[in-house]
Amino acid sequence: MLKYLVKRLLKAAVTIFFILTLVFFFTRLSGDPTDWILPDDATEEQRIEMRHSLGLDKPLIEQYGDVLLSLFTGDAGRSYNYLRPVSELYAERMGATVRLGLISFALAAAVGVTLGTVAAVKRNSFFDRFTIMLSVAGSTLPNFVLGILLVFLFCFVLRLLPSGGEDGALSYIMPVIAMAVAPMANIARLTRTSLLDVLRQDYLDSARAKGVPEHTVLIKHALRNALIPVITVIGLQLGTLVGGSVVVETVFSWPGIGSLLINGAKMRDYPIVIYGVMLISVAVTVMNTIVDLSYSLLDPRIRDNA
Amino acid sequence: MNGEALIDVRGLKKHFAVNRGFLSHHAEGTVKAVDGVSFTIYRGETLGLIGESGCGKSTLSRMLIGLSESTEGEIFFRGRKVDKRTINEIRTSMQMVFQDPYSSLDPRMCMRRIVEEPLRIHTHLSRAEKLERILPLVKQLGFSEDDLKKYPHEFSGGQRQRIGIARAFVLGPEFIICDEPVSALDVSIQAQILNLFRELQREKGVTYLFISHDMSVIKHVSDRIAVMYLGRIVELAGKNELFSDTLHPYTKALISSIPIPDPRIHTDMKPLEGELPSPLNPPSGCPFRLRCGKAMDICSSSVPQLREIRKGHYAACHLFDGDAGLC
Repeated sequence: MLKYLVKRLLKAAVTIFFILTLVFFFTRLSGDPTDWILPDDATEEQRIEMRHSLGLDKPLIEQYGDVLLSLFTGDAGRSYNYLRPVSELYAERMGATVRLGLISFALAAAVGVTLGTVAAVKRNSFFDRFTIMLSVAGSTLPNFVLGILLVFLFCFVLRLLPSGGEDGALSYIMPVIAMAVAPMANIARLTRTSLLDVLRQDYLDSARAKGVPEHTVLIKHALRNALIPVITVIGLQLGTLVGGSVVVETVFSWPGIGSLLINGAKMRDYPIVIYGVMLISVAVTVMNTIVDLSYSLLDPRIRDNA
Repeated sequence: MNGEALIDVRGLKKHFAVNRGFLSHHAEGTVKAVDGVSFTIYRGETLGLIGESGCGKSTLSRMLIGLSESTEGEIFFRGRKVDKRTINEIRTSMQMVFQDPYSSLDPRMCMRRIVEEPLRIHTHLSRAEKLERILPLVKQLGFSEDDLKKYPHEFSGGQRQRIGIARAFVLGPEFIICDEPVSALDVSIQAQILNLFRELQREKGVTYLFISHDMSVIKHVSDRIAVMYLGRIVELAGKNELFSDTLHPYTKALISSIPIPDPRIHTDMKPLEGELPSPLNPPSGCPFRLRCGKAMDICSSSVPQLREIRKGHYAACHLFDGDAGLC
């Protein structure tokens, strides 16, 4: 188990290293940040001086080394536009993203598993067919399209909800829906499929034959087994919720790390982009690793092979 | 044999409605999985039930143990009618061993919890008391105490089926339904499991309903044999009677299908032709007439009823219409 853990962690570290390298070179290819920082009529001398003060005149390899080193020193540099350490900027905005992500995630998991379970138990009923249609619709509709439609309906037509910003409980409703619908649909569909598969197994009949009450059969025997693959997907969704929030946060001008990252990318604010992408990739990788490990805890069949 | 009746089944039917359509249901017809079955199982005996796949053997056993409700007919256990209210009291004396040992054990429970679960539901024993109850049984079935901690995937097919047997026996039941308990096992393990069933029967006096589609297995374990075809019992007799004085053409075909392990012996074995007709659209009259070499005119117009042709030997075939009452 320990060997497996070490192997997984090493893999995760290598993944993050690759992402960082990729982002570093892509940002350098995106153009000159001084175009954005300095006014249009700035002289060439001013530009050279600016590049020097940002450390952009050093050889590429040296800059790359600095970025890698900054991972270990904790000093990820200053934002070109905000003139403040990026770690500070992200720390300020992390709360809003995590709140939105966790609420959406909890909603998606709870509603998704419930819908999927009821659909599987009442297979071929009207509710089941309705859930399938809803979940296909939910997982194919991109979250920003849904977000814009929601804004149009609840804000411009009905005038019930604020169009953006984080300001009280009402402001959470639309972003949470926009973020939760797709994972909810996936979780519901997978729970249904997985549970249908388990419901066919003889060990449920053998539990019933022993006299186990029906709801206990469903929860203790069927759901416990059916949720193993579902938990994988739930875990992966949790990771992508952080990444997926980038788009939704932009639609709802949510004061989280997603909108910070998008603005940073627009203005070629290299440190912001690199730090943001790194945060998200670490979140996703950590989640994947946790899912992998929990898998072997949940399923005794995998425990031994690990 | 003719002791006390433990199970009495009268006119048992199970019909399934077949539905098609999206967002709505259109009844397309009914499948008569079990269509009017009556028989008695006596205390201490093994009644073998044989038939092809899809003839209703498993549906019948599921109704007996209360896993599915009958459409019509009655089941009596020790003279008491089995229904929703009484099934839970009867559960402790009626258990089942399932066909597929790979899917009949919950993969997330260790062996101890699997075998203990009936005790957890039906008794209030402490952990130590439960262990005390299951240990002798588990040891008799060839396991060690350490095996109790293991999970199903760590056992072989034969071992898993022995766990299934332990689970069925832990409450000390009087009646056990064995639904093709060896058909998923290697032939080398089959005999071992069959002997185990017999040994447990001798020791604990349980009654079996033993279901199989394998005539040689049925012959090995049964005292009496019931032959099922398309939801009906077509012949029912003591084992020796059935083999020495076979009445129904379907039973004859089944018996001639037992391979004889001697190449010098030639049999006039005629394999059954055709397939089991669709239960959604069964032939008129006798369900077997389309595959029967001795079909007569009457077979297409009237359904033969199961009647006692000789003492204790029942058959449902028009060939013996004249013999009725000759016993």
